[in-house]
Amino acid sequence: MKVIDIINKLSTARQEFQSSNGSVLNSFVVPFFIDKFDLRKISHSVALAGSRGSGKSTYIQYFSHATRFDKKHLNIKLEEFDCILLYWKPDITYCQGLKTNWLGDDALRFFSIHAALSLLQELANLVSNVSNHFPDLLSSLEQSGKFWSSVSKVTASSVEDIASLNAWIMDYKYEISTRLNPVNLDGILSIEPKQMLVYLTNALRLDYHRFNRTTFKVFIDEFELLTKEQQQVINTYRKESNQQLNWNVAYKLNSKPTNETTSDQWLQSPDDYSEENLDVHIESNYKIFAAEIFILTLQNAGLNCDMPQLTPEFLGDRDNIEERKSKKYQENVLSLINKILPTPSIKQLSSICMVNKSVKNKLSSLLDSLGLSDKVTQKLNEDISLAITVLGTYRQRNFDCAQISRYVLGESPKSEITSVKDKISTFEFNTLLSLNLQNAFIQVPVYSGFERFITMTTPNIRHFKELCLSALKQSDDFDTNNSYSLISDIKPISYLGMHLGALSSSSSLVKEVISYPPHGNKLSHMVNRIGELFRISQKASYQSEPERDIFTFTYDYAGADKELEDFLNSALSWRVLVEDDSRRIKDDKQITSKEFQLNPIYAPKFGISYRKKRGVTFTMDQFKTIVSGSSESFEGIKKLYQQKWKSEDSEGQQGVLL
Amino acid sequence: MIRVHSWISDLVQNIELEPETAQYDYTYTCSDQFDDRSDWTFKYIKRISKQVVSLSYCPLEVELTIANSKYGLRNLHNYDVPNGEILIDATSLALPEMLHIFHILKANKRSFDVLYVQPTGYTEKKSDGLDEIKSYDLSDDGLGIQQVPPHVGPSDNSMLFFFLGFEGHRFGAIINSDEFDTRNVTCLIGAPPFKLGWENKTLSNNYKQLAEISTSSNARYKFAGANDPIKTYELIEQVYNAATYEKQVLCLAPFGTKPAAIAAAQFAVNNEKVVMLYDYVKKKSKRSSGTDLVHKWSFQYVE
Repeated sequence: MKVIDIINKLSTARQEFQSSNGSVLNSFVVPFFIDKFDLRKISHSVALAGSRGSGKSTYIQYFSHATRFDKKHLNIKLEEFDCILLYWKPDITYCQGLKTNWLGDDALRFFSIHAALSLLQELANLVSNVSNHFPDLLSSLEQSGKFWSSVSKVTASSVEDIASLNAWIMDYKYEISTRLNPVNLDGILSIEPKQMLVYLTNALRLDYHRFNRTTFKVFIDEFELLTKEQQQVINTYRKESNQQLNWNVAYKLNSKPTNETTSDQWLQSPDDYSEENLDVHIESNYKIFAAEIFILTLQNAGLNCDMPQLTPEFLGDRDNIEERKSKKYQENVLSLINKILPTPSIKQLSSICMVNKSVKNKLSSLLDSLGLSDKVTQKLNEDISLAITVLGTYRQRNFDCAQISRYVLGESPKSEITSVKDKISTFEFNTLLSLNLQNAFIQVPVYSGFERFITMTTPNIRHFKELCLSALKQSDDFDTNNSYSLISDIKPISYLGMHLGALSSSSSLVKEVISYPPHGNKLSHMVNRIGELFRISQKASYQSEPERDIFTFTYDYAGADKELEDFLNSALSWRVLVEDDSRRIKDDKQITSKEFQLNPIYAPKFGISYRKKRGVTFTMDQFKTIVSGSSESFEGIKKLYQQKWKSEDSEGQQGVLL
Repeated sequence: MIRVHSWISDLVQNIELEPETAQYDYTYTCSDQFDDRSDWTFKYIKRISKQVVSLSYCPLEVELTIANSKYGLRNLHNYDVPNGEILIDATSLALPEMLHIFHILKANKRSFDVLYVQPTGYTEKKSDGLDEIKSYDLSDDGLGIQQVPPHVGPSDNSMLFFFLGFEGHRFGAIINSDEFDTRNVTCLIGAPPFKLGWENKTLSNNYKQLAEISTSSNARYKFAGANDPIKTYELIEQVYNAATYEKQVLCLAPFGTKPAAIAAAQFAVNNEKVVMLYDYVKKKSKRSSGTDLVHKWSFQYVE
C-alpha cells in the first residue's frame, strides 16, 4: 500500500463505521479495565459518562448482541445468554423536534412510538443475530408461537417471522412519518416501550430455553440530547429497572441531564443508578491502549502487523488481557509505534534548536555579555540543555552567573546541582517554545513524537488518531511510489513532519469549536482569545515563571450565575476546557481551587505549552469580555497583559502557514 | 400549491420613496431592524403599504406572534388573514417566520408578494489573531440545529440538501452532530452570487467542511443564482424526486441566501413530507451594509 492509500482509508474509516450493523467486532480494542467494568455484570442501572471522543458508543456496542452474536464469531459461549444488551441511539434531531409546546401530550406519544419501534427493531435484530449461531431459536419460536403471537398483538397485524416483522417496522415508521404534518394520530397504535419489552422478552423466555434466565439490558445513548420530558420518561423506566429488564443511559461527561421522573419520586444515585466515568478508566492505561488502537486502525486499513499474534481478533478478545499487560508485549507494541512516531527528548529538541545559526549567535553574544570565563563558556556550549535554559532565564532576578559557573565546572554542592537541574527541567522546554514564537525562522518540533501526542490527547482516542493521520500526511513517502505491506515498513515520520501535522490538526480542531452547540461562538471566542493571551505570555523574552497555560477566575460556583455555569458545563462537556483542582496558580484572590486549561490539543495552534504549569486569575469582568465581548474590548485586556508580561506586540506569523 | 408567477427587480436608487402610494393593504415584516437594508425597507414598505404587521416565531414556545397576538402552531388557523393585497418582507424575516406565514396564506388560498433587498456587503469578522481566511461576523449563538415544526421527521434514512452560506461553522455543526448521513449530502452553491467573486467567499468559508465531506465521494453540488428562488425551487424538486425514488426523506437546510430560503419555504409548504432544519442563530445588528437590488416575487395560489 502507498501512504496515500493508507491515508484515504483512515480518513473514511469513521464514516464507514457509522453505517455498520452495530457490531464492533474486530474494530474494538478491549481495554484492560473491562473485567472490572463489564456493563452486563453490573446489577444496578448504569449512567455511563464520557467526554466527547472517549469511545462511549463503541464501548457499549461491544457488549451489545450485535457484537456478541456477530456472524463472524466461530464460537459463542452459552454465558452470552446470561445478559443481553440492546443498544438504542435515538434519532436526536427528530426527538428534539417533538416539542411539547407544539404537540402537547401527543409529543410523548410520538416519542414512545419512536422508542418502541426502535427497540422492536433491536429485538428483531437480536433474534436474527442469535439465530446465526443457534438456528434452533427460529424453530423454537415457530413451534411455541408465544413470541410471534405477542409481536402480532403489539403490532396489531399478523407477524410470524423476522422478514415480516422487519417489513412491518419499515412500513409503520413510514406511516408515522406522515402523521406529523398535519398532526394526526387517528388509528395509530399506542405502544408503551417498557410494557412492550416486558411482554416480548417474557415471550422470548417462554419460547426458547436459552433465554430462560436472561437479563435484558437497554442502553440509551446520547441521553443528554433528549428533551427534558423524554428524559423523564426514560428515568421512570430506569427507576423501575429489575433483574429481568434493566434500563441504562450514556451521556457526555459534565452534561447535566435531569434526574426527574414522571412522578414525584426522582432518580437518586447511588440507590437507583450509579454514574460511571469512562474517562477515568481510559486514562489509567491510555498510552498502550492508544498505541494498540492505532495499530488496529492501520491493520483495518490493509497493512499487516509484524507481531504475528497482534491481530484484530487478538485485540478484541478479553482472554488476552493478561498477555497484553505483560511488559514484553507492551515494549514490543510501543517500540513499533515509536519507530513510526519517534519522540525527541527535550535535550534533542535543544540540539535541533542549537543548529540554527541565529540561536548560536544569540547565545554566544549573551555569554559574552555575562562576562563568563572562556572555560565556563566552553563548558556551557557543551551542555546544550543548560545553554538553552540560560538563554531563557538570564533576565530573571535570581539568575546567578556564579552558580552556573560552579555547576559547569563541577564545583557545586549537591543542593545546588539539584537546583540547577530543576531549573533545566522547568525552563528548557519553556525556552524552546518562546524561541519558536519569537523568531519566524526557528521551528523546533516541540509537539512531535508519540509521547507528546499521548499527553496532548488523553483520554480522547479520536484526537489521537487525527494527530497520527496528520503526521502520516507529512510522511516523506507521501508522493513517492514506495509501497508498504507491513506496519513496520512505514518510514519514520520526521520530527518536523509530526510537528507540522500536530499544528495542522490543532488548528483545524480550534476552527471546529465554533460549531459546538449551543454556545459555539462563545466557546470559540474563549479558546481563541485565551490561546492568544497565553501566546503573548509565551512570546515574551522575559520568562519569570514556567509556561502560563491555566486560568481561573473569581467565582465561587455556588449557582449565582446560571448562565456562566451553563457555559462552563458546555465547555467541559465538549472538552474544550479541562478542569482540575491542583491549585497551581498562586493567587490570594482565588476563591476555589478549580482551575481550567484549554484542551492541550489546542496548544500547537497557539504555540503554547501542553504541560500544566502556571497561569492567571481573570476577574469576572475580564472573563466575560473574553467569552462574549467585542474585539475592541478584548484588545484592552490584551494590552494589559502585554504590558504585564513585557511582551512586544504581537502577531508576526509563526514560521509556517497554519 | 403556491407558485411564483411573475417577478420584478430594480436598483434601490431607481425606486422613489415619495410620495406614498399604497399598493398593499398588509405587509408582514420583522420589527427588529438590523442594518441599512432594513432601514430602507422599513421606509419603503411604509410608503407602499397601508398597514405594517410584525411577525416573529419563538422556537421554544413553538408559537408565532402576529401583531402582538400569539398563535400556537396547531392553532394557526385561528388567525384571520385580513382582506386585501399582501406583501411579505423577506429581507428581515428568518426562514421559520416565512415558512409559517406561507403556510397560513396557502391554507387561506391567498396570493401574495415577497420583497427582498440585496446588500452591497456583509460584515467581516475583526481578526481574532491568527486566521488568514476572512470569516464573517453575521450571527451569535443560536439553539443549535433543530427541525422546524411541522416539518419534523426521522433523520435516519434522509437525504440532506444543504445551502452553503458565508458561515461555514453552521454547516460544521451539522457534520459534527453525527446525526446526519453526510455521505449522502447535496450542497447548493449560490452562483452567480449577488456580486461577482462572492462564490469564492462561500467556498473558502466552507472549505474545511467541504474537505471533510468529500472524503466520502458522494457529495453532490448544485448551482442556482443566489437571488433566484425559481431556479432554486427546480433544483429542490429534482433532489426531492431523487430522494423519493430512493425512498428517502428530503431534509432541507437552507443556510444560504434569503432568496434560496424563500424557495425552500415555498417547497416545504407545497410538499408536506419535507423535513426542515434551522439553527435559530441570532442575527447581529449591522450584519450587512448598503442596499443594492430590490426583488419582488408574486406568489399565486393554485389548486
